[in-house]
Amino acid sequence: MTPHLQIEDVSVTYGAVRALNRLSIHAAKGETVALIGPNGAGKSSLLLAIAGVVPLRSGAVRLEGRDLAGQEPEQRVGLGISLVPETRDVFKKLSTHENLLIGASRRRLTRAQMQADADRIYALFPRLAERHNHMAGFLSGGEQQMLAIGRALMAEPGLLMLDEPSLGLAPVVTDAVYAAIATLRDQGTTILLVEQNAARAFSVCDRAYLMQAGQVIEEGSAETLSARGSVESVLFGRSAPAKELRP
Amino acid sequence: MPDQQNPLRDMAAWLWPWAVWAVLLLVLTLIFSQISPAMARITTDTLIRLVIVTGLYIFVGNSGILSFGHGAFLIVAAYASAWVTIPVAMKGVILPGLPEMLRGIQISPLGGLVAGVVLAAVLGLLAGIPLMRLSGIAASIATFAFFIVISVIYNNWTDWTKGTASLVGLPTWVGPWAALAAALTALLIAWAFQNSRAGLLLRASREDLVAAHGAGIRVMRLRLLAFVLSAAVAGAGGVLLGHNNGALTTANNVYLNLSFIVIAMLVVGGIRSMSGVVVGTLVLSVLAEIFRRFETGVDIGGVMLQIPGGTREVLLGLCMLLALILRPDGLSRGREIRVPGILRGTRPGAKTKKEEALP
Amino acid sequence: MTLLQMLIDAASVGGLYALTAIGIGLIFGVIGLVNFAYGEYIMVGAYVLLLSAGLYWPFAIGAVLVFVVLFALASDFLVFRQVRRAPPETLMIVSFGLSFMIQHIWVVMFGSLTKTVNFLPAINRSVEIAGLRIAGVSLLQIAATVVLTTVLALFIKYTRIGYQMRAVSENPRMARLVGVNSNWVIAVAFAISAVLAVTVTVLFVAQTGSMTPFFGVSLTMIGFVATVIGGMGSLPGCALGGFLVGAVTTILQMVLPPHLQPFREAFVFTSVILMLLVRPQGLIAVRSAWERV
Repeated sequence: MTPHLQIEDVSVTYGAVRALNRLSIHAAKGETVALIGPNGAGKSSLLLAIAGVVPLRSGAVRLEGRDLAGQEPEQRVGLGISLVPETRDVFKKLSTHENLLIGASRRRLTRAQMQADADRIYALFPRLAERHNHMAGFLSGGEQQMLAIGRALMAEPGLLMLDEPSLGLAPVVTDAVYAAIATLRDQGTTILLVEQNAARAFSVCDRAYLMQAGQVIEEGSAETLSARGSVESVLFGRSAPAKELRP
Repeated sequence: MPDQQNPLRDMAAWLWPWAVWAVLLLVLTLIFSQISPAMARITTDTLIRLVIVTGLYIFVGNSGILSFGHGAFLIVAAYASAWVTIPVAMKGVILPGLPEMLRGIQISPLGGLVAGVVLAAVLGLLAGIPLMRLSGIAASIATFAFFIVISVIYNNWTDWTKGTASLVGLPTWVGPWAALAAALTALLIAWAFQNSRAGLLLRASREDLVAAHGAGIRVMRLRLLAFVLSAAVAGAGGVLLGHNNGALTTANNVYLNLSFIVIAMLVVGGIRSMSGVVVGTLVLSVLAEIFRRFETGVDIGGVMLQIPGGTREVLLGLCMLLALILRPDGLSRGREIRVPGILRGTRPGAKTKKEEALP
Repeated sequence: MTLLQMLIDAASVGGLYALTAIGIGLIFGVIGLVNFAYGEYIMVGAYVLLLSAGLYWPFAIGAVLVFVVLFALASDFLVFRQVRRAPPETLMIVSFGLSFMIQHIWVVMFGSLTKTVNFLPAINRSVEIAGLRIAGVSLLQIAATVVLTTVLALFIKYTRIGYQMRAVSENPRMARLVGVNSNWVIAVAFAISAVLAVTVTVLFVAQTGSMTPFFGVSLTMIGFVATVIGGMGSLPGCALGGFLVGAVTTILQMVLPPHLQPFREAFVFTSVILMLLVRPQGLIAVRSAWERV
């Protein structure tokens, strides 16, 4: 069976800097996959490459077996790939409701259908319903994160990519965001989750990849990875004591 | 061990990029001015344009702000020089409206040049004070408005300028050698400014305005300084222009078209380097000359090839657009001529080796 | 009575300038392009009117509309799309080069001398309202300004493409990431700005009856200046700036002695530059403008 998402030998470079080095991963339909790794491991670059924002130096991104080369970012949204970037980037001068509507740009919907879809997002994040008329720039960080996820969901993605959804959020808000992620997982959405907070990621994911310096260094279920202790060594550099000895 | 101090060599290293262009221009002038009188005229025109492009570059290249207004300095300087150098006998006939004080004098060509340059610099200062307060694009737009103001005034100020009619009688003292001297001086001024403390600070502020403010750089003053200097050099170009043609007019958008050509030269060559100024001016001048030949008709293998009049400007515009799309950093890519190793204080690569040697 | 007359004159001249400024401001707001070629949209339309003036007037206007919209779309597709990611300064020079090129293509085709056309002379007739004699074209200018700005404001506020336009304006990269076809949205913005240009063309030509390949330059300049006064990037600011320039022009027309009248444009622009000494950020400081510029 072809996996929902297949990344084959992908390399990405920014000038002389190599962000991804012949990296391969995959995700089955309905699977929640976490990408764990330190800053600069290339996690965000990978998501941007899948979304089509960053060009590939080599390799291929396949969605249900189909090579996405040459597909513009907005076309990939139409194919069912949505990215919630680390910076969230809600449209600050648009209202919450308009932000949601714009998420459905790729779908030909009537006003009623669009309203129904927006209502589903409001059911998922009741906080947004209270603020549907507010300018998104005036929302709190947590609300902006909910809005960014909701906006991505308006495109009805088969594959949802979340970049550090808990970054800078209060624990209570993080709980709400993760509850929503769990709901989406249970509804059968394939999720690619980038997270520094490995424990959080493990609480929802089926499988995880450990990344370092643009490559996958380990792969496995949440249980096996935490048991091996390799997460800690990668995230906190325990395996590289030489650095700490430098003057 | 650092090499010994050698002021002479340091000076030579400092001057090298300018000197290379100076020698090249000297050789080109030597060759082309001898071919034919027509060629000598083209050489002079090109060198005058080089002065103007250099003037524009002093502001644009260092501040990063585009100016569409430098045509104003050409106009002001050219007419100022005309007022003081046209023979008294002629002035009484051509410009009876000129005040007695100006009508009665006639000074040397050099005096006219100084008058033009000073007036351009003063105007640059007066206009620069409000203009330099604006940032980026708004500043560029305002420079264009400034150009229109000056151009409308000179167009309608018939007592002093004869408006769209021709003002004749300017002594034609400009030839290839005078133009060459002016071009080399202009380039040297540009080079000295961009390597001066003020020039370097201004370039730093171009890269990051907020950081420059944070570091206490008084960006507005530096911009104003560059603007005034640039106005003076462009003004010198304007004076040369008048004394090359022997006549001035504001008809048919001559200064608007000239402004365009000058901006195109700077952009095609590359806004960020002095080398770009020379390269852009030479390349577009050669192209313009070729297009001009085609407008008058060229015989290619027995077939007379002729393009309609006015096509030259269209083709030059096209060249500029293609350059911007295909090579946005210009032909020079913002680089200057490399100083050879002998003249540099340290051997090439020596610095990095030292760094590696550190524990 | 003269005061009222002056107000109407100011409103009608200002309306024309406001339409120009909005056309420029719309494109600047959406893609950060200061479009010198906007004046050429107005100019080429005038020449289409010159060629089609023999037709029944709605057809003539229709021909101008079709031609100018296609012309604007072509300028976006062939030129501006090629430099979409370039910094605003580069975009500005590109449009400057394009504007110069179009002007000289028109010089090659039509010559650089003034051409005249008698288009809809009827609208220059004066009508008398409450004891005031008002030129029909003034009323049309005021009406066109009011109608077009209202329609445009509603369009941007309430339609799907309207909020997509606002999204592209705020964050083009994110707009694409949520599936907005930004090239399409930008094309629509160009088409709208072309419609505004056509309105200006028709009113201007009907009023003056003359054109040269360069007459767009001073209108563009007025539009730019109005945009700068308005604060770069806010459409209400553009409209306000346009009316202000119109008012200054009208006042100068009344108070300047005849021998200074030819210098009117110089006075207008000087007063604007001086105003920027007091408020360099424009009348309405728009946050997005600071983010952009």
